[in-house]
Amino acid sequence: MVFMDFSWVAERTTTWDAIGLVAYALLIALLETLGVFIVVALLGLLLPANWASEKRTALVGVLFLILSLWAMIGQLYFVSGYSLPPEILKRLGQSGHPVRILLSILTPLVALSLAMPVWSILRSDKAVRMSRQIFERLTVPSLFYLFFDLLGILIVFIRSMLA
Amino acid sequence: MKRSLSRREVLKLFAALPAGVILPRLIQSSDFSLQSQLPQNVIIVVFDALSAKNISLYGYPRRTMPNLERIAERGIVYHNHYAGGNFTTPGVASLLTGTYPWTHRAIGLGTTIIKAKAQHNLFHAFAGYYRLAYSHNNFVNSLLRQIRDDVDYIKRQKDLFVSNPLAFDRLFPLDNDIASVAWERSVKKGADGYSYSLFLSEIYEKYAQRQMRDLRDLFPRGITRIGEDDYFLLEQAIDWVSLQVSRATRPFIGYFHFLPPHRPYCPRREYVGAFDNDTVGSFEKPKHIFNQSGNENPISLKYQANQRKWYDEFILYADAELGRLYNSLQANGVLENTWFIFTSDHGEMFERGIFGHRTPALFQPVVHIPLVIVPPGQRERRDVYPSTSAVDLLPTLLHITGQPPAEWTEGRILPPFAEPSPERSVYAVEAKYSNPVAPLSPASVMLVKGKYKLTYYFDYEQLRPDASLFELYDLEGDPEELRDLKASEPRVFNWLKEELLEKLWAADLPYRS
Repeated sequence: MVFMDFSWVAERTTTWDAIGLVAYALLIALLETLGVFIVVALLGLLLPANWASEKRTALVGVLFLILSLWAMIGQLYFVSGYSLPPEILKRLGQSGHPVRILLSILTPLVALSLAMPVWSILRSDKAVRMSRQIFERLTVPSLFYLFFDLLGILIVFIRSMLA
Repeated sequence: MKRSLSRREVLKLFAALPAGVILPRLIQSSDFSLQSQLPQNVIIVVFDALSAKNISLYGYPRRTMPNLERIAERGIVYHNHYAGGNFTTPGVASLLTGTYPWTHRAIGLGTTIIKAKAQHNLFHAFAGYYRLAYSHNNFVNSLLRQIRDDVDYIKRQKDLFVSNPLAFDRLFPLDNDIASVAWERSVKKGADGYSYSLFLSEIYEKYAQRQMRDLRDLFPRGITRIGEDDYFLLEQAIDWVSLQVSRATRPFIGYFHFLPPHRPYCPRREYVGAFDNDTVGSFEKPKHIFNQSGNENPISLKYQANQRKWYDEFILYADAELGRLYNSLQANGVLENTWFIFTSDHGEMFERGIFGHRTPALFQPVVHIPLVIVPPGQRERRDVYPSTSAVDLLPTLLHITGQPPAEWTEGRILPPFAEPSPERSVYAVEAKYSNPVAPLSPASVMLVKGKYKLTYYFDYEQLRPDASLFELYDLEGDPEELRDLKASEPRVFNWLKEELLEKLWAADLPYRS
């Protein structure tokens, strides 16, 4: 999403400043990731100690992944400029409580999307193994992400030295 | 019985003659302190979007600026002063460069002066001074950043905002500009509804709301802000200016640009409702071709009057802070050797279906702005009525402080520091959707000459199938600009039209291939 703003910044200042914007955004993203990781790790401490580590990892990992996916869907809704059909918007407006109605639809949906994988992991070893495979496949893009984060840190450092 | 003068008395008389010739000149020059031994400081205070139409000093029936009236009692009041453009970027660029928008080409929203002209600015001209600046307004900060090599100290915009301890950008003071943009885009959901971060924005929002709770009581219409949630307190900025100029290296020139009374109109609690019981209303003017209200939802007179009342309340609040600043500068002796200038960058409209200043129109409310100059030591008010322009401020300041003149400026030295020129031409330009390195199109240009005002709008969608629209008004006989005279005064119209088109052609010449 930061790349959508790249040209806007480059037009008004310089390309180096636009690269700086990306670098700072990556650094902030890294800090956010670390923050979420700490929260997730602490949540893991709440799980029963007698559970296998694989099960604990799968459970917490799936929760984190699904919540992130929902957050991304929320972002994409605005980025794409998509809007609900006019008839639905009209009905929501006429109801007098559009936010409540939306929450009452979305909350069970989100809850269901969390409950089903959690239930599967608690009940099925196969689900645990599937989760592990998903996380292993996500390792590669994570490494790319870490590489760019480190590059971002380097650029931030260079900019501070040159300023 | 008359007695003839004695020889002694005649000699005394002849001895007094030279003093009688020299002394008045010394007194006159000390009124403007042109002969002062000490170089004089300059303070320029700009209130954003302040229209002369809404100021009591200029005849507005609501007493919106009693403090400015008080300050003007020792100053020079310019009654027909015009902005360079109808929004901040061209307006401020004209003030800072002494050139019109068709020259400096800072004509788009948040854009900067064309590179070749960037060094032609006020701060560069005052190279021997300590030069400092602050602005609430992002567009002004874009301009200041462009010319930062000519400014000794630019106070960071956010330093005088209501602080948010979570601000990550404070960790990078040396690269704060880009760090703060990245931080904001990461955590603040702007008008587009999203931020870069997935989770941080929620935390930030909750924390910021808690910070603001105490201030919300003081500002019932919302805390003064830029955009969605960059909150600031005018009081804080005024206090900073007062402190800064009392400590600044002498001589100094300071440019201080405050956002009020730019919308949103958020006065402090005691000013809300200040004009509720007056009888000042609105009268209907014909909807203009650039009106912002659709035919399905015409804007009512009542709504229009209410918006104007809110704006006037905001001006009243800002005026109180102006008064506080002036009192403080007076009390600590800064004004004894300082020229105090008060002005605006552009105005604001509440008529003809046009609200605010984001419009192609160049009616008086958006281009007629205040200017009060208070020379050090002046005791009486003076009034100047010939038309003047924001581009005149730079050459005037150079002249009155004894600096070398700026050859590049299109402005003139203001009266009474030079002879007034009632028939001089004053211009304004609006061209925010034009390419700055091409002939202006679409654009609005204005010429004020004597009592006449000619406006030329061209190449706008709204004008189709015609390519252009001219409007001619007699500002003395018709200050509300209700009667278009181009049909009834063809000679005047053709004379002014020829001048305006020639001027525009000359300005566009470097950009014609």
